[in-house]
Amino acid sequence: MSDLSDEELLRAYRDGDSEAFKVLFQRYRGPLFNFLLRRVGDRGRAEELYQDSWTKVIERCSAFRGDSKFSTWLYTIARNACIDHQRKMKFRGHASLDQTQRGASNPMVERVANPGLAPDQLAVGQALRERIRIAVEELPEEQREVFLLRQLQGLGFKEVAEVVGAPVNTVKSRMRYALERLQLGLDDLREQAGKGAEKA
Amino acid sequence: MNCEECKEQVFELIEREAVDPEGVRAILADCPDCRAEFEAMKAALALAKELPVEEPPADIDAAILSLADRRLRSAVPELASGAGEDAKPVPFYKKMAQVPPWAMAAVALLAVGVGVWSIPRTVQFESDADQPMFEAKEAVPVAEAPRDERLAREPASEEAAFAAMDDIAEVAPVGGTESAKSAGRPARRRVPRAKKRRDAMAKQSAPEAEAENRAMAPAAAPAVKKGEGVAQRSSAGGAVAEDAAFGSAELDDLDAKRDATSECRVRVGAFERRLRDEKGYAPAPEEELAIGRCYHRLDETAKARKWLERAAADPSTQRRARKALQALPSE
Repeated sequence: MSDLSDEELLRAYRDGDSEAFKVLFQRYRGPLFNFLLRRVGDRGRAEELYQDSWTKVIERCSAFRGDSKFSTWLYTIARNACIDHQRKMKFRGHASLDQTQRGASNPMVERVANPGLAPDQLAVGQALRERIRIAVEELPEEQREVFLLRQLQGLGFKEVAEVVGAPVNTVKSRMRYALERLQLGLDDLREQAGKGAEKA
Repeated sequence: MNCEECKEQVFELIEREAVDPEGVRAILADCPDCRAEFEAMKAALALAKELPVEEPPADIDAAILSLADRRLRSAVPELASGAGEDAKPVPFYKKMAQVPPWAMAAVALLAVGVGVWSIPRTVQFESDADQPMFEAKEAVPVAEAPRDERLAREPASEEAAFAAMDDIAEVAPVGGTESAKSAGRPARRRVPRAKKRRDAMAKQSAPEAEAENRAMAPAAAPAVKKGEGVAQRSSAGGAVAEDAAFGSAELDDLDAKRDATSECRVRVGAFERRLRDEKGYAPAPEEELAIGRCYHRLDETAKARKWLERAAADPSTQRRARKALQALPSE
């Protein structure tokens, strides 16, 4: 079962094999959740969108014709869910307290309740990951989604282009710009890492 | 290839999609700036891999898997029930349940349309029946009102009397149910059967009973006749249970018939007064038809024929008047 392709697994599920869906779900549950989490920057919203996305996959699986890859289809559904969510938030006209805002390192609720970093966040490895997380979240949205799909999900440029609905060359450009921004934002970390390596 | 082109292709080289990978590598080997650019890009990508990975909540995962199972059970019932290739064919009613909602809606709409279309026709048939007033009185709620009060009550005007009679005959033809359609069906079955029974009973009744009936008042005569007939049949040891029920129903029918006769008497009286008092009064064809039927009800055959023939001369009442004429006893 595990050596079947995504599309074959989906077909098996449509034909009544619930185990096939479980395999497919295990393959994508983590990547999809992290894509959504980094895309919306809010765990609560990400959980909601994660459930919505899988629900749509289950409901619409009979409409999947196999013209594209399953991963492309899945991330297109998830991305559309994010866009709908953002539209709703824009309509409401206010930001969530849990959401990290542009130019701020922490969510609003953390800045209000706890101005300093938590002790566990001071650990080097975690601090490094936190810096990277923030750097990624501060990327422009178009670059961020391309970066996430390419780096975290391992989609090819052609697939990323299908998901975001842009030409392949545009996707490549966005990816390059995203890396340049990250490179600038994380320059000090790179230097620290270089010095650490020299000392060692 | 120059340095600018090389820097542009560094990313593609890392992504293994460079147009000229050998050219890029050659420049990277010679140019320290380009080499630094390449290293910085690689480092950024390496750092990006350190992005923290989080796990989705287990309860949401369980909910999703449960939904997937449920969806499978509802979409593929034969597989979910454990039946494989030996599964029986899906029953017709289950297939019907899977019919698209728009098709079900179309069928329902069609049924309603046919129903609506058939209602006026049913009412028309009932008003064309041989004894419309008798049938009407079976169902009309007015018949449940105290009879004496109704008989004593004079209509406010002759027009009101005509209107009331027409309402009785046309609006509530038979049955006593709210739906004209559903009321129409039993009426068509019941009336001929009742007639047949009455005829049979009339034949079975004893001659002395007929003589006694003749001595009774005209309005009460039918009731007594039928009552006697029922009593005699019962005493003669006929089909007891069935006839007892039949006798009770027949008595109700006769009550209604007697009411109709009284109404007719009132109507005929008003009509004759109007004919006498108003010079040049010419009744409408519908009135002619109604009054002809009333005369028939009162056993005044000659007058009934006269007014029914007049009504038959008008196209709007011709068919009904002819039917009523056929129902008259031959001269």
